[in-house]
Amino acid sequence: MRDQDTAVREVRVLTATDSDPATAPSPGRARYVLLVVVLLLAGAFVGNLLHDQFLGASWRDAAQSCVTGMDQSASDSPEQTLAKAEQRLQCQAPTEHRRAMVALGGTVLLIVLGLILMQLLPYRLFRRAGPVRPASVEWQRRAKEAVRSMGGRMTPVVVWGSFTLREPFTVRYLRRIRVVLPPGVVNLPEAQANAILRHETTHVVAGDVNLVWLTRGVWWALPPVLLLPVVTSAVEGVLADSKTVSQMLGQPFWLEYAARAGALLLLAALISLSVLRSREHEADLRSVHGMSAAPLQALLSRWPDQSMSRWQRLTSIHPSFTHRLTVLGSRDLITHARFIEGATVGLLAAMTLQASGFVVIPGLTGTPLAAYSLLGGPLLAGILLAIGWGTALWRAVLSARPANHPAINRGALLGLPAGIALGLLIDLSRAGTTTSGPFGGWAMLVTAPLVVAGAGGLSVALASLWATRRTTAHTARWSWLLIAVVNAVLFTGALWISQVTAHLQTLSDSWLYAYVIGGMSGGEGWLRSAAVALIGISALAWGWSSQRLSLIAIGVLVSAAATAGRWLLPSTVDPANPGQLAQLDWWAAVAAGTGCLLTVLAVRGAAGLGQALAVAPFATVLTAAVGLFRYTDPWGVAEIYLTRPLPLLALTLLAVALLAALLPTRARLEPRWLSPLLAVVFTAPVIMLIMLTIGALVW
Amino acid sequence: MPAALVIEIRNNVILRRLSAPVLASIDPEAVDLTRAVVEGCYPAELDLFDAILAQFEADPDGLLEPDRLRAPVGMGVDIALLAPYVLAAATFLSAGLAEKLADNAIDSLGQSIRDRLARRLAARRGRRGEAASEPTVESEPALTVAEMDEVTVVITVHLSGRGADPAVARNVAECVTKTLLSGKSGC
Repeated sequence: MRDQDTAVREVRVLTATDSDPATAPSPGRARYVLLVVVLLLAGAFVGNLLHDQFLGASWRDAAQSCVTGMDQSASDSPEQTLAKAEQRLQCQAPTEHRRAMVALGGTVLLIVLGLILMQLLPYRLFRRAGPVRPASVEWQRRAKEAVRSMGGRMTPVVVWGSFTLREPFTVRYLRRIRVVLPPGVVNLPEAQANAILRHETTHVVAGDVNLVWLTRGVWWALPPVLLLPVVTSAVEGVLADSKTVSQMLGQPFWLEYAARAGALLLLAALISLSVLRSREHEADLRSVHGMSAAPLQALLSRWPDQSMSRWQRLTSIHPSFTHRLTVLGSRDLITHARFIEGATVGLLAAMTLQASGFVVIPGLTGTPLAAYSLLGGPLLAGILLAIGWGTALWRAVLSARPANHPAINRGALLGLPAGIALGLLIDLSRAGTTTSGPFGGWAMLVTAPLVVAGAGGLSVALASLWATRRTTAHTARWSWLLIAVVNAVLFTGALWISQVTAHLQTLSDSWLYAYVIGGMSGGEGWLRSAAVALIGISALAWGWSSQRLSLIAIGVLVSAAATAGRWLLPSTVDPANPGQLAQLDWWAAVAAGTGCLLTVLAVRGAAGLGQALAVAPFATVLTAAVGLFRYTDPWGVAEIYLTRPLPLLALTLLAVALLAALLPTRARLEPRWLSPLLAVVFTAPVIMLIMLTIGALVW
Repeated sequence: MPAALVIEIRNNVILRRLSAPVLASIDPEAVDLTRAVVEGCYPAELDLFDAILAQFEADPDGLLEPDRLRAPVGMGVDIALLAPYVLAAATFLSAGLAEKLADNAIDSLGQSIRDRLARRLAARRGRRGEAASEPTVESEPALTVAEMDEVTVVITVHLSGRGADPAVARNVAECVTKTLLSGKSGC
């Protein structure tokens, strides 16, 4: 009963009408990819350790010679200081590139070993299931038909396993996929035997066979790779006259390294099993797509569930029969958008952030892309979050009945930040830096979970808008591509700015400074990208919003209120300082966007977040545009007026989106003219507050 | 050469290899009973019968011990061959009734039941002409429903003890009992 209840809670209505299995992306598959990436990046960390062990001294000498060769002097102009810094980076580039290559070598070693094991492990399993005999031509034909009916191309070879084999399974080695059936299948009714074959071929078509064995291969390859620096350190202790093995391995670093490595392996194993269980549900459902589920149900009903301990449930490869029957009976795809899934994806994504830096940051040093070296980790993690979590959120929202009914529970929204915080804490690549916090400070533990959870909230808001506006229940393949891109933008941006603001907070020890400078001056790369991304996302939100006239009215009135406040209220800004006056304009624009955000949230609750994405950037751009009229050449400064307030608004939206998404949803406010009036009421205190505190906000 | 023929030849080679050792220690009555049960209840396994028999003779416990492979891309269901369990049940009965096996469960059956079962078993051999002098049992009163149930329970318990799923054990036990008592193949 407990199982059934759990299953029902986990299941969202996602029928064949709104989620075509052929086009809907599988979050389970994305999580496999995420898991493999995390494991491979552990190899990069090992490479980095080996680099420091063998090449650390020469790297340090080269870095020092670059610094002493270009001593800065007090009389240097800012341009000269910048030029010298650039020269120093160019000087360090060769040794940095060498570091990146060695780190990458760790990953490559892991890939090679993983690929070898990817062949050996299934071969070993296949041998253990033998001696095998090829099944008859009839069985091969049935397998071929099953694959074709699911749109697959690679037909597996069906073989009979040994007399003691009880469970059907699928393996791939030497480029051939083999479905191994237990001989006892001959006793089953034909429909049930076919159900088994279809289930296994579904795994083949879904690509599970490769992903599962790749994950296993890399997982088994990781322990020896993780041991490499330990072994080389011990050997160094044996060979060196000045050090002993106990001195080399007695350092606290190795204890921390062992603990983090153990945690990584344990978590990877548990997550892998959890994904396997999810994939079983998917295989069950997809195998009966468009046909009767009765034979499979009859088959799964043959065995009563045995009671299992929590640990047994955690480590089991398959879900319980009761659970499988419940999901199968509902004919629905599970959404994979619960607390635990969010936490899992967040944990894995956070682990990729710092580890990828071992390759990306030194690799881009001294290249034209150096300005984007901080983006490497967020980009990788953002893309993985988009396909592993963003698409799961959208699947859940698009499948909700009735449309726009809140399909995402609070647990789903809170799981992601919890996972990210945990991932940042236990990440293997942080070995040796435990006391200094992730990325050199503890601020990241606040900024990353908060802002990335905000990105999740914004993603849900956009999905909810689309769910109400789309004309067909079917979601086309290109739509899923668009959804993945939108989510990648949201999550990458969130991770990027969370990293920047965390650095700024650590440097300045001020959250206000981190917020203001991070949002409004967080590097040219961030400013342009954030402005373009927000405009793009806002355009999508406009396209999917209803009652656009009402939203335009809100935007215009809010902009008018902010502009009036900016010009009529007294401020402490120096009127002779054009830079400060420009910043005042930008702040007024941000106030307009914030006013819109507060208005729609107050009126609609969580349902207003999507509309805020549409109208807040509009009001911000409108208010900034009014500020341009102070200039004789407005077009000359137009770009800067777009790329300052919009990124700060983006950061504001990301920072409050989680809270906003947790608000209760309210019915539409009547009469409709009340909303624009409320907008002015909400904007007034915001602009007043800004005018009162502007002295602390400008520089 | 047609693929079907190739597969057939390969299967025959493998099956011949699997069934190479000739059984020596399993009572012919037990083999005969097993074959009759498989013919009647699990005919799909007949093609594999000789190979299963050979493997059972070589390592009876090994054949009953399932492979716990924990295959990652598996289906999670447990589908056993039933002939090995039929063999286990038949050899258990045969040895127990011939008093080659000291087993409390067999002993718990009344002497009368044991005698009638033993004669039924011997009669199978008689019908095959191996013991022409054995008295016929066709006229002998069959077991009552309660007695049959008693025998079924004993076999079920034995098979469960050897690792069979309870439902499988019950099903096999019923088939063995019915086939033995009816003297014909069929469930």
